[in-house]
Amino acid sequence: MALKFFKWSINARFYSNTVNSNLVEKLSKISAAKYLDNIEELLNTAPDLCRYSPEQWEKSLENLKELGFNPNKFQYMIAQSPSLLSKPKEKIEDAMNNWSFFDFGRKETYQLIERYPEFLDVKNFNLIHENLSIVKSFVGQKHGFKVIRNSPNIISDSSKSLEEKVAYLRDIMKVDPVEVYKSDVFSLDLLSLKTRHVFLERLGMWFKKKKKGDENDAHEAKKNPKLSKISDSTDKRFATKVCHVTLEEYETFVEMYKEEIENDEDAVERRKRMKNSNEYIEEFEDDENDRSHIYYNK
Amino acid sequence: MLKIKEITKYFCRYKHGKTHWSVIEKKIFTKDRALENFDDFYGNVYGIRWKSMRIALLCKQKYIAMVNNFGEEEKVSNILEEDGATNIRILYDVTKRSMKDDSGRFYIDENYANNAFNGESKMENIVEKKRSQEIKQIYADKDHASDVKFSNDDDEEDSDQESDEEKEEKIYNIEHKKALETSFREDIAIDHSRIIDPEFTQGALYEYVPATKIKGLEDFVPESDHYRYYSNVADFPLKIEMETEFSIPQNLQLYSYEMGNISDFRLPFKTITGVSSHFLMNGSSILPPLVLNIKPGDVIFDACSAPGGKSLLLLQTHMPKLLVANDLMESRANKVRKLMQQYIYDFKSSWKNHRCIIREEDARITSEYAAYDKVMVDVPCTTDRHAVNENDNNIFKPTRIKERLRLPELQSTILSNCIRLLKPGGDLVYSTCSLSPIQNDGVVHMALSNVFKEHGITVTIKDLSLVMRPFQSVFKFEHPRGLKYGQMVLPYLPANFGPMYFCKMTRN
Repeated sequence: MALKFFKWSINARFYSNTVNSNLVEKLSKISAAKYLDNIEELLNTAPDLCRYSPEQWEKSLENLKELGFNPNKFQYMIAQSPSLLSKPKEKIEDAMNNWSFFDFGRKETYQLIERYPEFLDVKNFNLIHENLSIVKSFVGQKHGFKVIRNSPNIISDSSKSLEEKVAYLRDIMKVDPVEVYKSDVFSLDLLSLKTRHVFLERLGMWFKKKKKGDENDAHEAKKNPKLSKISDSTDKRFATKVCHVTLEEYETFVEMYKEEIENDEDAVERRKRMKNSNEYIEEFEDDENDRSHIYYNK
Repeated sequence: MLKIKEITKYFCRYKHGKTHWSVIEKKIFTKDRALENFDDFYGNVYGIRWKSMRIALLCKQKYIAMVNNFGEEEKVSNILEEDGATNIRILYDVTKRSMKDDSGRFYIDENYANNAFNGESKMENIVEKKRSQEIKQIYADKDHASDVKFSNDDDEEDSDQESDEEKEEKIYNIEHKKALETSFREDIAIDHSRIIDPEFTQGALYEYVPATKIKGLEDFVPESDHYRYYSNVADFPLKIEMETEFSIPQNLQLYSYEMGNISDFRLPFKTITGVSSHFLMNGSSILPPLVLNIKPGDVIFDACSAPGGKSLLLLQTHMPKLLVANDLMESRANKVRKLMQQYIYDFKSSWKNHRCIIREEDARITSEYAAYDKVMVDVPCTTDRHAVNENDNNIFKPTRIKERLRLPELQSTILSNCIRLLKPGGDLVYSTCSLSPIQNDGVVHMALSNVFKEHGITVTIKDLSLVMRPFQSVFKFEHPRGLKYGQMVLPYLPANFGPMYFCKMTRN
């Protein structure tokens, strides 16, 4: 074990000092080179790759091929997760087995891992199961894969925050589940989602469905901007293209809304504390009396 | 034995309480009604820009702090400056200086000189649209819709307000019948050829007399009539002059945060003299009293003064010889009284009834003609910001529909009476906090026309576009688009002041 570590550290030290010249030359000679476009650029974008010997590259590619991965994705996968080069075949196989329990289908599971090779390092499968069941309860059993593909962060989000997001989308925004799995909405945090939704609502661009099955409502709600446009665009794009206002206005609103929410939370807490202690009531009343002297104009 | 009471208890249908979410969700609040009305009307007037105004109206408004000259003025100014606020007077002067050309005159932009107005056609379209909607609503039969005209010539103007239910009932009754004029023609013809059995008494004849008038129609104010207050035909001599004189009095300290900064001002505190340190007011409210351009020794009349912010600003300059702060209701006048006592040192003994008179009078009937140098008319209006945010005291309440539709009439009566209170050469500023072109330019137009027809008084409208230009870093103005006589501060999120329309005129 100690010997292994020693060998690894020497290798690492050796290759990390010679980023470009030697390593690039050696890598270009190996059989895996045909799957690599521009080795120098690859090493520059992911310098951690320099830690591994060309033999490791070769072996890793072989392992992945044997396990059924698309070799054309090799470059992308190691650039995303350089530690893949040192991962033994058994470990990858184990991880793939674990992922297959989610019933995405074989093709889909491979697609997912090829897209996010970091998923092979995931250990907390219980959390993923829990989160997926929350999401599936809203979007349907079939579409869990699409959600996880669009918003990979759900594998590490806390279940509570995810539940809040789902509740907001379902009960307050009342969006169609189809729109949810077609967008990256779960990669947005709840505050940003709320901010964008309330911004649209106050602009008069978001129609809220009131009754189930009301044709008028459904017709109006169709005019609402697509959820994918709301969640997948940058602040500037959202402000100018979706809402047709200036970025300055949106930025001011973000600040204002944050303050609004904080004030609401403060008020709720104050009321709670007021109920609990009589002392606080007196304090609060004094404060209110002071405020009554202030006059704001229209 | 089962008692009757118990049976009803068990078989009574369960209903949710008023606070249940499903009840709250279904309920239409007055502010929702206001918003719906604005979406329809302002959406047509301002187009896509209405969205930006809408969100600003629904968000927290921005304030301007006026330092109280009767307290520790320097100390308070320093504190506010330390908090990061900017002195508006200094900002205005600096910007104005940078806008002047070499000869010391304002640089006049072509856009500003050419006061092109393009709102007329929009208003016509709105009136047409509203009228056809109403006719459609009342007469379901489309063929007769074109024949129908509302006859509002009756002089009877009963003030009894109809409830909505009654109105709906009437509409329901008319719906399935023929239009009045058609029934006249057809039914009378049938009557002539009809033989009446002599057995019937004369009373039975009543059944065959066609209706000539619908009961209650004299009280009926169609919504499209409200929009008709906006007329464009100038039937009075009108002169528009460019205003070049404007300055913020030296002893007035007004502080605001720059555009985009949404920080709150600290709350006012008591100073050594016992009065409050500074007054927080909606930023746009400072403009009407400032454009009044008061001079030392002026006698000023504030027609609808409550809650008193503008009057207080005028008194803070120390210039007026006498300020008459008037309001119709006692409770509102008391508000002004309380405010003055809170902000002016020794108000009761040395100011009240000497330099400042607060009284309750109807501004439509005030008869101190040609007595004032300056008059400020901040009329009751739909108060757009209040209407979309608060349900309490909201003019869009269904029972107040008649009051709302006749608001422009009230406004123009107040304005035309106030013009008569001016001395020749005196200035008047008319202001509202509404975005509606009817309550703004429409009312000014109507009042000027009335005053000329009835009393032969002519006025000169002052074009304020030039003197307002240095304020562009603080406020967002509507000019030069869509305004005929005045200036308007638009609600805009980074500078969330207004809405405030103001128009200055001088009596000839």
